[in-house]
Amino acid sequence: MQGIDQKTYLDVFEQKLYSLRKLVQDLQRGLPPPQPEQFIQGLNLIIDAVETFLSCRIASLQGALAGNSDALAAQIAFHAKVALQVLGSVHEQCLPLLHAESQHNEYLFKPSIDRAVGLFTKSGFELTLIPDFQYNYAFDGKENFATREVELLERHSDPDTKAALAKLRNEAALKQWIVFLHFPVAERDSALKLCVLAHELGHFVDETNKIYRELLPLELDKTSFDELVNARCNTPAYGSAAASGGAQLTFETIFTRTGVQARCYLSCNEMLDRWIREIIADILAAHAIGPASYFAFNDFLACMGAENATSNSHPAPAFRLQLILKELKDTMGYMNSASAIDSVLSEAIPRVAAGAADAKYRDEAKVVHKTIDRNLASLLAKIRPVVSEYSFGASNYRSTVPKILERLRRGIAPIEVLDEVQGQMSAASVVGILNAGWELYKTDRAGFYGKFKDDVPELERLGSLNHLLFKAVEASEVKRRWK
Amino acid sequence: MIRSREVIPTSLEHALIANRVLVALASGDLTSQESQDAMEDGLRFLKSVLKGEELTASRSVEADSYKAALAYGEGVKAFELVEYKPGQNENPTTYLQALLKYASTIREQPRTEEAVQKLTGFFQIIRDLALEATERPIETVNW
Repeated sequence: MQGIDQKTYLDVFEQKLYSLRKLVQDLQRGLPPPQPEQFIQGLNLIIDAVETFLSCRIASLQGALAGNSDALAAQIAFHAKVALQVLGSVHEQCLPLLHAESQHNEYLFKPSIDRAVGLFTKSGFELTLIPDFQYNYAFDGKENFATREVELLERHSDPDTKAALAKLRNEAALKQWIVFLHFPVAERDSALKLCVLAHELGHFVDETNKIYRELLPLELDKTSFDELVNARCNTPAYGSAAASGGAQLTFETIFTRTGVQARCYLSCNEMLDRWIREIIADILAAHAIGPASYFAFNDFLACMGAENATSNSHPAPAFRLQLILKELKDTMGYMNSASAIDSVLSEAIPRVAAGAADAKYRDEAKVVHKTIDRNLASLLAKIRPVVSEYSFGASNYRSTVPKILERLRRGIAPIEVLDEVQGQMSAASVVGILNAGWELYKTDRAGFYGKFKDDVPELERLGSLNHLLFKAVEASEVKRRWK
Repeated sequence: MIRSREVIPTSLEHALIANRVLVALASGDLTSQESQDAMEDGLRFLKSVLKGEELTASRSVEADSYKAALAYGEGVKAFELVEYKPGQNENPTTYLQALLKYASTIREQPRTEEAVQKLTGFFQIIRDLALEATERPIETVNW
């Protein structure tokens, strides 16, 4: 874009600034309560800061480079480009979140999610659920949103610009965490499927407790890393030897061995980082909501039509399912009885183990898988203590779920259950409600469906089960608050 | 799945650091506070590049190793564009260490043209590469 003059950059910057501010206002007007106020405040702070950054920097540069018009023009263009890129990120990454938020329905389980997060973090947070047309669940969270960005602009500014930016930043009082949990909009009416959100909350708990940092350092597996570097070095580049009229060019001849090694290390580092964070979230979710985490994840993978293949961001699905089942069995005490739920879980073990053994690992995925495999026991030992106090182990399951399940079977929303110690009705546990829903769905669906008139379609009967679960989660939370 | 939402990505921050170093070097006055701060950040960036080199050699993944690896990757690309001569000069370490030395001493010693030239060449490439890395595609076509 060298052919664009500084005036054009400044003109389009003004226009982009105006249109973004207007968009934020328009989107905010369309949002139902409760609005993500902290996020909106942060967005406005970033937009104001970018405007201040550019105008103050230009004023400073005009003084410093008064006698050198070419250098001044180049610097103004550079700073305008930086400012435009930041506004571009706001447009691309942040505004869709506001737009999606305008589509939300009632989140009957949101108070329960807020309560769960409150157990793991003392920091202030604003959590928003985002229905997404991408068929996926996602965690999108940022510590010190907006203030971090403004601080970064300050760091690269002259003293006057720094002071103006610091003033803006100090006037804003934002919560430490602004978090979005995305879920597929098609699953908004399924309390069972939305249990996958426990995994996304696991990412948040990881972030607030810095679990990932506690698991490092790790050393990448040497043998597979060297294999990867050698393979990349020898990868042919730019066509055949005959076409180039000489020796075959390879990545090594173009980038140097050191360059190839640097690229391999960077990609392995990024993949290891992501995979470990997924494992942390899987383990936290397994402890937090017990078997419901396995069932929901299993159905979600099926719904995705997912292959048992690795990606840059995730280990192989069967590896993760196996990890969750092993955690349920070996650490949480499940699959030690002939109960219906233990039977269903036990049946899955050989199938999942075969899938895990069958997963193929190549290139970076092979390095990362071997690195994790070698360190898995110590990684898990460091993750478990974070959630042990709230772990929904087999004994918890046995003491809470059957009473809830009994009401659910009769078509009653299990809002309260008899507390035998206190001799009175008390709010049913949210985790117990979700697990009872899954147990009914997995072990006695026909029995539940049999309660309906013959002309009610099966999927409407399943819808009714989900409604009972939503109702129970919401009302039990209300009862808990009143108490 | 984790979605990253970096409004100011690391690459853009590297572009800002590199630009400030270039302005300081071009100003001819490295004694002003602004130039001193810019050179300090440039020095810190070069140290991060060399930290990335160490981590790559040891294959060690640490809490902030991704950022160092990214800086090292940019440093190696700069080397490939500026210094690399097949069969003669294939290792970036000497080049990167020389840059670190220039950046460490340029503020205390009378500036030498060689130091200014080498640092300018390096940070120009870092600025351009880093800015390029954050650019969006002009158009997306699907069919």
